[in-house]
Amino acid sequence: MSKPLVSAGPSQGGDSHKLGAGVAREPQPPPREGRMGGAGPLIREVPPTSWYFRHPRYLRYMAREITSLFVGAYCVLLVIALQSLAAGQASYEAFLLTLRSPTSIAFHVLALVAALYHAATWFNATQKAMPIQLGEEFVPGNLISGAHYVAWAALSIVILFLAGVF
Amino acid sequence: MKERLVQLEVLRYNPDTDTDAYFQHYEVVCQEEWVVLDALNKIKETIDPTLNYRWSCHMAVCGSCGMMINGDPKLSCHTFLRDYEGVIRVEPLTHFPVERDLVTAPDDFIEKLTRVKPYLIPKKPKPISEGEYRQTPAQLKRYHQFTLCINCMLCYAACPEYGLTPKFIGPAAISLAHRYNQDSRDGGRDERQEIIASKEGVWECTFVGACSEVCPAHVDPASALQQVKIASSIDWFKEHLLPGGGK
Repeated sequence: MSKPLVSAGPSQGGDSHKLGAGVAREPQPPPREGRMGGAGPLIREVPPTSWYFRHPRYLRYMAREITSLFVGAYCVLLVIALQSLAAGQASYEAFLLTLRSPTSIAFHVLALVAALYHAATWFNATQKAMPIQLGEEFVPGNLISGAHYVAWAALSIVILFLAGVF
Repeated sequence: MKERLVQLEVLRYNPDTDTDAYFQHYEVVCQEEWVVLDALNKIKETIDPTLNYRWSCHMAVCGSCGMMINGDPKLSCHTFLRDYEGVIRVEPLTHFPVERDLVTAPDDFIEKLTRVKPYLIPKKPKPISEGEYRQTPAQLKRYHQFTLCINCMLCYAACPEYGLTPKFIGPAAISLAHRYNQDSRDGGRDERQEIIASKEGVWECTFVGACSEVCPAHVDPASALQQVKIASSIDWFKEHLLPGGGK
C-alpha cells in the first residue's frame, strides 16, 4: 500500500465536493497492453500462469491437481514392474533392487502422502457430486463421504490380505 | 455508539478520462456495526460524490452490491467493517468488464442465464382449467436450495475457469438450469442439456469449488455442476451403449 499523496480532510479542503478533498489519489500506472482504457469498459485480465496465488482456496485446488501427478507416476512404476516381471526373474530382481534405493524410498513416501491427500480431497467431494435423497430429507454429506472412506479401508484390507500381509 | 476510523482503498476508473484503473485512498469515520456498503455510502455523501457503485436492498437479497473486498468476492452490504483490520481494498468484481469504478457490466452473465432457459417448460401444455401443478415436499426439497440464487455473480468472480475461459456458461447459470431440470413440473431438460452439457457447459468446470465457498445465499453451485456432469455422462452411456439410445 503506498502512502496517500494528499492528506487534506474536508475541513481543510474547503469544497468537499471536489475530488481530492479528504481523499488521496495515487498516481495512475501507465496503460498496460491488453487493456482497453479511455474508450469503454476496462478489461482486467486474469494472469494465466499465476492466478492461483490470488487466494488460498486456489492453492488448495492446485495442490489437489498436482498430487495427481504422483498417482500417475506410480501407475507408470507399476507398468514398469509388470514389464520387468515379464522379462524374466533376473530382470524382476534387478527392479526390486532398484526399489530399495534411497531415491526410490523417498519417491514412495512422497507418492503415498500425495495419493492420500488426493484421495481424501475426492472422497470429501463425493457428497457434493452424489447427494442422496431418502424420502424428503437428504442423507448427511459426511455419511456419503464416510462411506467412501469405509469402502477404501475395506478394499485396502482385502488387497493386503491377498498380498499375504496378514 | 462506538465508532472506528476506516481506511479504504477503492479502485477507480472513469471510461471517459482514464486509460487505466487506479486506487484511491479514503479515510472515513464509521459506526462499529457498519458494513462496507455503509462506508462507501458515507464516502459518497460526505467526501467524494463521484464514486460509483451499485446497491439496492442493503439486506443481501438483491445481489447488486457484489465487489471484491480484500480479494474476496462479497456482497458489500453483508461484509462487516469490524471483521477487517488495516486498509480494506475494494475492487469491482473480477472477470467482468469495469464500466466505472466499482460498477461492472453483467451482460455476459445475463446472456448465459437467458440461454439456459431458467424457467419452467411444461412437459405438455396444460390449460388452467385442468388445475394447478402439484408437488410433494420431497419433490420441492430436491431443487429448493438452487432457487435461493440471487444472481449476484460472486460465483463468477470466484471461478478461475470463467476468468480464463470466458465462454464457460458458469456456476450460477448452470445451477439454475439444474434447478429446473430437477423440478418435477418441468420437461425442458433436453433443451437445456444442449447448452449445459456442451463443452462450454459443465465440462469447462474443473471443480475448484470456489463458487460454493463464496455464495452469500448458501447455494452450492459446485454440487449442481458435478451432478450435471454425472447425469450427462449417464446420458452419453445410455445413448452409445443401450439399444435405441436408451430412449
